[in-house]
Amino acid sequence: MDADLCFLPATVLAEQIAQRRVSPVEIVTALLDRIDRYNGTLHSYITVCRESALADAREAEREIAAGRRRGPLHGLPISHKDIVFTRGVRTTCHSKTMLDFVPETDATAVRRLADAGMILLGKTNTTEFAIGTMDIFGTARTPWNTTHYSGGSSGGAGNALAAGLAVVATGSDTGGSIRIPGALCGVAGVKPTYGRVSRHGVFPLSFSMDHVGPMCRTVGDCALVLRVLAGRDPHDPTSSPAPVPDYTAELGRGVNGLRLGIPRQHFYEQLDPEVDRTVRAALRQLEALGATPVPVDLPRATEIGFVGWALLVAEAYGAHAGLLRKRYADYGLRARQRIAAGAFLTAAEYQQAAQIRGVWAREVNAVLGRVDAIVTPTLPFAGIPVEVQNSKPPETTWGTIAFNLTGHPALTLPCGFTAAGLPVGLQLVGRAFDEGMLFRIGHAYEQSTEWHTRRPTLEVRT
Amino acid sequence: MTAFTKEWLNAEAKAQGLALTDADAEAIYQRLTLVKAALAAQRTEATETLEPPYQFVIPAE
Repeated sequence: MDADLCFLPATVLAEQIAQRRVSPVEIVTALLDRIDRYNGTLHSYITVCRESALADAREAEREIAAGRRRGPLHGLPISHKDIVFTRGVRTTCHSKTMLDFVPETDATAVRRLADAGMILLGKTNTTEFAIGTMDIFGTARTPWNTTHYSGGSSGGAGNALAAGLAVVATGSDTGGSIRIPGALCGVAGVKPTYGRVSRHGVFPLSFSMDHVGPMCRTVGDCALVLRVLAGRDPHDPTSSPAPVPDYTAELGRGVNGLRLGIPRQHFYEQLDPEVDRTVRAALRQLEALGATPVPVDLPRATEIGFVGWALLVAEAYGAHAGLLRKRYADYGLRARQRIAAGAFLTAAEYQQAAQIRGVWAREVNAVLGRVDAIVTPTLPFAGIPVEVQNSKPPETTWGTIAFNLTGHPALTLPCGFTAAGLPVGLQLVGRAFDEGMLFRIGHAYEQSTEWHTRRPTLEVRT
Repeated sequence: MTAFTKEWLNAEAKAQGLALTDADAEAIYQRLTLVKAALAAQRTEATETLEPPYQFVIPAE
C-alpha cells in the first residue's frame, strides 16, 4: 500500500479528494495497513475502528461522488485520544477502572469533526487518566527512536502522526499534554485559548486547566482543524462565544515586522546544549524572515510550575475522589500518587495558588501587550528513554504548564533534530484568542525549513 | 493551621477513605512538602486582596 499517502498533510489530501485523485477508502486502507504493521512497536492505538472506518470511508466516497462534499475535512480520518468520549466505541482512559466503558454520547469535539465528515480511525494511547503511566496497553514510543518515550499524555496521537499512522488527531493539554508529545515526536500541535474548544465529553483532569486541541503534521493542518473544533458549546459553560476566524487566512502572511518575546528567565536556562543550539538557530531563522526578537522579563516563570501542579492535583482529586476511594488498587502507581496528593492541599492553599495564578496571568498579558508572541523551547531536552520515563521521569511540564495556568494559546512545532536524530520542539505563545498569529508565525517558519517533511525509519520489533 | 506532617497526612488519608500504601504516603509527603513551601514563598501581602480569576476565559483585548 502507498506509504506516501500516509504522510501527506490533511490540506493536500483534502485537495486530492476534491479532485477525485484519491479516495477516502484508499487513505483509510493505507493507514490501517501501517497500523497493522507498526502499532505493536509504537503502541499508538488502544482501539482501532477497522470495520466502521472502512464503512464510513465508503459512505464518504459515495457522498462526495454524489456532489455532497461537506468541506475540506470530509473523507479524512481522525484519531481521537482515548479520554475523548466516542459514542459506541470504548473509551478506556488507559485505566483498569474503565476498560469496558462505552460512552452513550460523543464529546462535542468528536461530534463537530464527524459532522464535518471525518472518519473515526481509532482511539489513541494516553497515559492513565492523562496523568499516570501507560501500563496496560504499552508505553507509546517516538518513532524517531523506539527505545524512547513518545511523551504524554497525548503520546499515541503524537507518535501516530509522526509515523504515518494518522492524518489528524485530537489531544488534550492540562500541563503540556499536546505540546510535549508534539515536541518529542516532531509534529505540530496547538493548545488553544482556554474556552476556545469545548471540553464536553472529555474525561476531566483539571477543569480550570484542561484544553482540547488538534495535533497534525503541519501548522496549516492545525489551522484547518481548529476552525471546525472551535466555538461556543452550550454543554460547556466555559466555552467562549468569541467569533472563530478562518485561521487558514493567516497562513502565508509572513512574519515581517512581528515582534517576538524571548524570556530572559527560566525558558532559556539549563537547556540541553543541542536544544539550546537548535532553538537559537530557529530564532535566527525567524529573524531572517523579518521578525524582531525582543528580550522580555517573566521572573515568576521559574516557580510558577508549583502553582500549576497544586491546582492540577487539587482539581484532579475533585474529579476522582469517589472512584479513587472505591478502586484505589486499580489505579497505577503514578496516577494514584499524583491524584491523591490533591487530597492534602488545604482550601487556603488552593485559594493562594489561584491568587498567584491571577498575578502570573497579568504578567504574561503585559508582556504580550508589547510583543506579538513569546517564543520558547517546548522542552529543555530532547528524548526520554522509556526505562527512564517508567522509573524516574524528568519534569516535562517545565515550559508548558505556565500557559495552562494563564489560558493563553500555545503551539509547538518541530525546529530541528539532535545529532542522534531526535526532534526538538519550538513553542509559540500568543494573546488570548489569537491562535491565528501562532499559525502565521509557525507556518512561515515551517515553510522555510524541511523539518516537517522528514520521516522516521521504522522497524518492526519482534 | 495544622502542621503538614506525615502523621497528619496519614490521619487525613484515613478520614477521606484513601487506602494509601506507605510508599504512596511517602511520595506524596515529599512532593507536597516542596509544593507547599513554593506556594508559601510566592505568597505576598500584595496577592492577598487580589481576587482569583472566576472566569478563565480571558477577554480579547
